[in-house]
Amino acid sequence: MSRRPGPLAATLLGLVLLGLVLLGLISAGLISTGRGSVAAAEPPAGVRVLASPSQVRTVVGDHFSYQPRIVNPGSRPLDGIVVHLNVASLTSDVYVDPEDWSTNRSAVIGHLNPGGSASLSWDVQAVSAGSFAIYVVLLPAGSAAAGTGPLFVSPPVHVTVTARTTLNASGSLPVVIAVPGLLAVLVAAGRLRARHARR
Amino acid sequence: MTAARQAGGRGGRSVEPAWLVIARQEWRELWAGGRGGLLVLVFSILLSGVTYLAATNQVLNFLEQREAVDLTLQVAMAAGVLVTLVVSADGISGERERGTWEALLLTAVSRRAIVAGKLAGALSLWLAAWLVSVPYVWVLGRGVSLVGQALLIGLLVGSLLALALAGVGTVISALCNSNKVSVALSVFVLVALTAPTQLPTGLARTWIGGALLRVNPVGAALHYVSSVLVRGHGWRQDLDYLASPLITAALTGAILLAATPRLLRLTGGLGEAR
Repeated sequence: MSRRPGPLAATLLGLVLLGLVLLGLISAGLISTGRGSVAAAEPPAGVRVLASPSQVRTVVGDHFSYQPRIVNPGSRPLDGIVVHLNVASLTSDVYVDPEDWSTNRSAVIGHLNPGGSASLSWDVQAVSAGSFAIYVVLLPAGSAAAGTGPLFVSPPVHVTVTARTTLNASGSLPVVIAVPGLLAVLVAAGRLRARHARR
Repeated sequence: MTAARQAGGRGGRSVEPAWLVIARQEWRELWAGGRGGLLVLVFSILLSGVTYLAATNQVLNFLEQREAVDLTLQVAMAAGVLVTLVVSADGISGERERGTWEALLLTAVSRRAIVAGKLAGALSLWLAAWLVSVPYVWVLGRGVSLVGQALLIGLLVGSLLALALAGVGTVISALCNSNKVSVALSVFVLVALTAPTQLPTGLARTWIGGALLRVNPVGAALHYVSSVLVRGHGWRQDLDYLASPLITAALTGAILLAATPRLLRLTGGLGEAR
């Protein structure tokens, strides 16, 4: 006498089959569990940023060089690290638009071997007087971690910018008026002389 | 016409080189006739406006002093080159239109000497424009010890640019019988060359933007001046930017030297556009 499988065994078999199909789909990347993307965005342990110079003292309008060095002391390589430059005012009365300080603020490090490092360099112009912090933000997994964190932030470099005496109207006014005035007199005199000569 | 009489009267016996005779006549017509003075007066009014704005306007005044000097020098170079181009564009087509071209060609002066004299006449306007810009650069740059460097680089790069564009203007003038066409075409060339300097900063970082900047003699020359004055680069660091004005000057010089006898010829009728 043969025994036919009961409803419980059929349900269990169905669940096992469904589980196998789901596992297949997940492993093929067709279904995201969310865990995978978090894992991809996980920062590699121990990425370090060494900033140079340690502090900057300059005057308004001057350019200086900010050179962070990204170090990968981990055991696996890093690909597509996005490094973004930022400037923040340390006082509330000074407005900062980082675009004015540096027009090209993002850089991508294509590949960083374990134990390797990459040096970057930004030409930065001190646009306002005051006390500022300049730093870089790292997105270690690049586009693979789009929309997810966490991020790496470098230690800030303190930038002190002192004002300089700007130009003033009283200094330029004599030249601004005198040069065209003198030329107008010369042109008028030349025309008068030419008219007299014709007579 | 007077040039024709002078050069012809002295003939080959003149101690003075023939091109100098033509140049003297051009200078006399330009400066004693009042046209040059008027152009320089308008030029100085423009520079006064730019200098006053750079010194007083809150938006421009936040610029570093070196940038203010650079801005004024660039305006001086662009406007100085414009007036030089306009005068050179009038050089040959203007003579044709005034009916004095035939008389000038009939003198004993060689055609190359005529072209050289006319170029020298047009370039005198650039030198006058540079002289006028001296007090403006001085008043803006005296606090940052930049006056000497700015004036020297303005003179050297501006003269190269003026020579290149005066050559372009003379070639256009030789090709046109109508003065209106010649001047309009020359101004259009200058506007077309200046336009890429207004492209967004981001584009300049792309290869096409970089290539456009280097190919354009006006943009490249102005970029070189900014690199030295504002970014503090050495004079030799960005010398490659001067290649296009140098090539333009050499090319127009070669065209004028080789094709002058064919370009400068007697043509029947006045105001006949070729």
